[in-house]
Amino acid sequence: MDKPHSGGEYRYIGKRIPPLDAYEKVLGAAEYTFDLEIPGMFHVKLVHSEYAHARIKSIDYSKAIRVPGVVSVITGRDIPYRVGIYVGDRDLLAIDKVLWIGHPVAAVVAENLRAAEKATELIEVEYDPLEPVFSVEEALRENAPILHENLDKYRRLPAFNPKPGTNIANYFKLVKGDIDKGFAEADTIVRGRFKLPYISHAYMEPQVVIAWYRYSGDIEIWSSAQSPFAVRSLLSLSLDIPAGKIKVNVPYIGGGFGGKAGLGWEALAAMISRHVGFKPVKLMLSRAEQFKSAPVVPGMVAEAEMGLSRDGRIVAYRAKFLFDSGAFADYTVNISRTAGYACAGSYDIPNILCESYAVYTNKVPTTALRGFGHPENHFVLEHMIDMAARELDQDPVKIRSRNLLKPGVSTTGTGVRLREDAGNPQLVLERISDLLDWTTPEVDPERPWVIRSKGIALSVKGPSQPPNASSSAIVKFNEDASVDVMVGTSNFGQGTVTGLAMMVAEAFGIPLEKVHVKPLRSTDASPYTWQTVGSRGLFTDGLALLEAIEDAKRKIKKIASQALKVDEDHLEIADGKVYVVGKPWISIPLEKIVMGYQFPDGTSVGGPVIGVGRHIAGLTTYLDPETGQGNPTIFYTFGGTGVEVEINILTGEIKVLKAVQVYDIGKAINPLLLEGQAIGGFVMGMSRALYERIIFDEFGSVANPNFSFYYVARAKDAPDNYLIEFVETPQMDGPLGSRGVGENVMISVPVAIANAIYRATGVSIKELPITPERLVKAIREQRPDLFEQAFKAYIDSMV
Amino acid sequence: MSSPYITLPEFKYLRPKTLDEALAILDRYGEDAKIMAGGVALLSFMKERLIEAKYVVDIKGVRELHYIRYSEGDGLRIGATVTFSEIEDYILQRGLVQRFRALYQGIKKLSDPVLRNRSTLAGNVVEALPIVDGPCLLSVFDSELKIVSSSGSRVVSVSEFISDEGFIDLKPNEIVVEIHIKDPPKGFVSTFRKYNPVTEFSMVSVGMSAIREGGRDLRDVKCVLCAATPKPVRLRRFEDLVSRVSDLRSSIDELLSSVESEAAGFIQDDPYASREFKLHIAKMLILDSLKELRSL
Repeated sequence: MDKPHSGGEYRYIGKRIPPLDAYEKVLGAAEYTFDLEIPGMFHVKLVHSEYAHARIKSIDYSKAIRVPGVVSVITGRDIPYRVGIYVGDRDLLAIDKVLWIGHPVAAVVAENLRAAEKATELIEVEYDPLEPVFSVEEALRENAPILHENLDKYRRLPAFNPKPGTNIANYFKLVKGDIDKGFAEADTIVRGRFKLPYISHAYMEPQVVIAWYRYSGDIEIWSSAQSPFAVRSLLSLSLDIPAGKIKVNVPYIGGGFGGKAGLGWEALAAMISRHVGFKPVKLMLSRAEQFKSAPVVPGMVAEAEMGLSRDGRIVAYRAKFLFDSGAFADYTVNISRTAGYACAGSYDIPNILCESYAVYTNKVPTTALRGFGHPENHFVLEHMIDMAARELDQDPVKIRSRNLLKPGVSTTGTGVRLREDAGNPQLVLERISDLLDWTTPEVDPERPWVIRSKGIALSVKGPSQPPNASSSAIVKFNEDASVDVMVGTSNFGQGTVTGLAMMVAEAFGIPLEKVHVKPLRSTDASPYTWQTVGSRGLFTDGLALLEAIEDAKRKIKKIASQALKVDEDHLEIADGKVYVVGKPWISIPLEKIVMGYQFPDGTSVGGPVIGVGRHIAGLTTYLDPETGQGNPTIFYTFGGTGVEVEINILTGEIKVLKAVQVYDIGKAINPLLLEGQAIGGFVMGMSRALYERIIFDEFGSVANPNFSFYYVARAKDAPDNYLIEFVETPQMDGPLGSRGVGENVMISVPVAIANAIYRATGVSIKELPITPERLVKAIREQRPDLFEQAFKAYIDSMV
Repeated sequence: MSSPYITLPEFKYLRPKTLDEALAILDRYGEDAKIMAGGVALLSFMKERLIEAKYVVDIKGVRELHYIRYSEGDGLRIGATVTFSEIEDYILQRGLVQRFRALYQGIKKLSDPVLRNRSTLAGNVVEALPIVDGPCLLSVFDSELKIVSSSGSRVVSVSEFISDEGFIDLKPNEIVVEIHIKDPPKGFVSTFRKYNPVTEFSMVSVGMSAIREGGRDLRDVKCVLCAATPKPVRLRRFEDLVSRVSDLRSSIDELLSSVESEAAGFIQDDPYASREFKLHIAKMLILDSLKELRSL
């Protein structure tokens, strides 16, 4: 987009503009799928397995069907389909075998929800229990019970590599250089074993879908889904229905964080709709069901070793990630792949071997979460670097600086030369350490059992998407020269659509109020985009939109050229007008052009103006199946986090005092919303670091399926002090030079907090969340002297 | 809190205007009727299908139960429908913070302002689970509940009222109408500590009170351990010991081991913390409370 003419300053781009939908949301007027009703629709309620692994002997619903209002009961045998995004391993309802406590085994359909709920209590299921596996280690044992006997028969994309006959849903290997040679050359080696728990996305709106299978064979869906086109394409593939016969509508979405990417319950609801006589049906989950039956976020165990030269260069890095995918891994296979190919983070490491597995267990299935693969591999890598720094007695900032990737010079872990315009990781690191005021930990003089400490971690993130992922956009003028912006990318809080609207207002010089982006996405009315995931929205759909803007401008100029009798090349558009370059007093307002121009005698030329644009990833490739080498991503965004924490040695309480976030986003389209993302990402990462974990009991059942016992950070827990800065090294092929950042803002937060604790105490915590009990226990084990000293100081303060 | 239900079960909602009317409803429907003050607990439990009620009797409309009064010598009298926020405001505005310090601190730490605007102290005491703070706060003081039925009224202490985790001395035809917190004696100081960094609810809480008469020594110490215990538990041996202590530093070990031996039997492991850690935190909160009471 050219800079506008008046003074060369942008009018909207770079300005702090609140989200377009803020008022509707704050006033409670926004309509979500949860709010939608279709007259005559039925309600669906699921019956859940009480066994972690069992064959279904019988399902007796004779009592349930007699509950007044109940229409039908459906079981897995009625609809024996398999669905999934990367691997089609999911059933709609358990077919013969249940794989976790919470696995839906039957669906009750009733005229009202209360009747459906009541009927579920009356369904008797008889099981033949099988031996369950609850951990990746157990699942990988030689004679472990196998969850998916037919793994080889499932549909899958070529990038994924399951091992039939085992519980391995995907295996990925990244090989760069010569790992043995690298370790042989190392002067020092650090090692660690890491563990992350299952967590919940904790979005506000639980999963909900309305489906209407019509007599014509057309299906209409309303869903709280991130990506209507992915839902359509996966429904089409899984149910063998032509995509054109399926329409997916997505109104306002109550949060997603990756958990509503891919396919949700749409296929189940559609098949139920057909089963009950082509009536619309609504399936909405309670919060407890959301924890127990819907996909959550995988746990991980990892082992890593890092070899360094005496002067602090990383010469070899080996890591092995085992993702606990639960009973289904349709999306989690890509988490394992991503963790593997991006394992070297922001660093130039000559010799790498990273292996990554997604492993089936008899627990709740899992799926994507913001930045997937990266919070996990960065938790390992960025803590290993702090361990190495301590080992070598070097400063954690300096050791990072020494090993950072150099754009235009270094090759990444996947063997691609990092493009020259990829950003400025050195400057990012410098700004974090400056803003944080990188000083050594200090004891609170008033309370000597409390230590204040600072920690730092870097992160790099690009979209994890298929190499041919594409997007499109339309700008459609209305009679008043306002513009309907039509994009496929969904809006669940990221701010992308506000940024896109600002780009349109800027391009035509019209007020932002005249740019309309409707909340509803629909596969009928919206142009295609692959998915709204991976921090790609503003980048990919933004590029498509810029092309659509140019297309519309061309069409406007063509009409204006006929009206003004001036060559198109001599026309420009600004301030809502088309004018002659060098003669700004000769102009026509857009209103007179965009529906076609009418001459004074009544004759007319042109017609309604619609601009069309598209984008495709282009240069990204599949990764080599043996080595993982190739070009996985359309951009890399470098960034990182600094934190200051206060640690109570005696009670284990950790309070985050200060958050520093710096990201090289190329161009800040809307700094207000960027800061919102950075703060939101920080708090989400902090919550993951300190509080969040799904707890399974000995039978594999979720023990804390609610927000009272699954604690998510509250406002009172968040720090008061945020220092957020954006570096702007433009990416030449990004929209206005920008890159995506929606996920990166949370990736390095947990490990920065762990690093701050490590720096203050020398106690290395390699397991999340860092609960007070875990911290006190680790301090008492690793630094009993510190604990005793703190306790003595405390007693001194009493007397 | 772990049910698949989205709906509440069907029930009839009744909103009496007088206490007599409310009591008559209880006489008529017996166990089928449940009193609702704030509804925070009752409706949640009903949604979980843990409590059944054919009739929900909302007493928020009973004006005679909506009062809070303080008088010197008598203390605080709080009607059944008074919310935590109203108590908080009253204590602050009437300058009673020092007198009822533990209560005030406890309310400030209770959940969040939205819930405090709805939830009542009486309802909290009737819930009587370890996760609620009300019984603990009342146990720090000399408090009584006034309970009425159509055939008369009675007064019980909080410790008599709660027999065990969630079990209370209340018949289906009775209503807790008033909480009476007696005016503390001269020199009375109190404090409340709550440790909840792991779940929304307290892992361990400690309420402590004492009489101070100049200097830093405390007598008549009362120490109540809550949340980790099935109901508020007085640590009487610790109380005796600490009330007799002259040199705190040399007595710390003895004090802590008395806490350990008295509290240990009540505390269990749960998925959120081990018994050992809860005991450690209980000791830290007790030391913290002592420290604060000595410095007031």
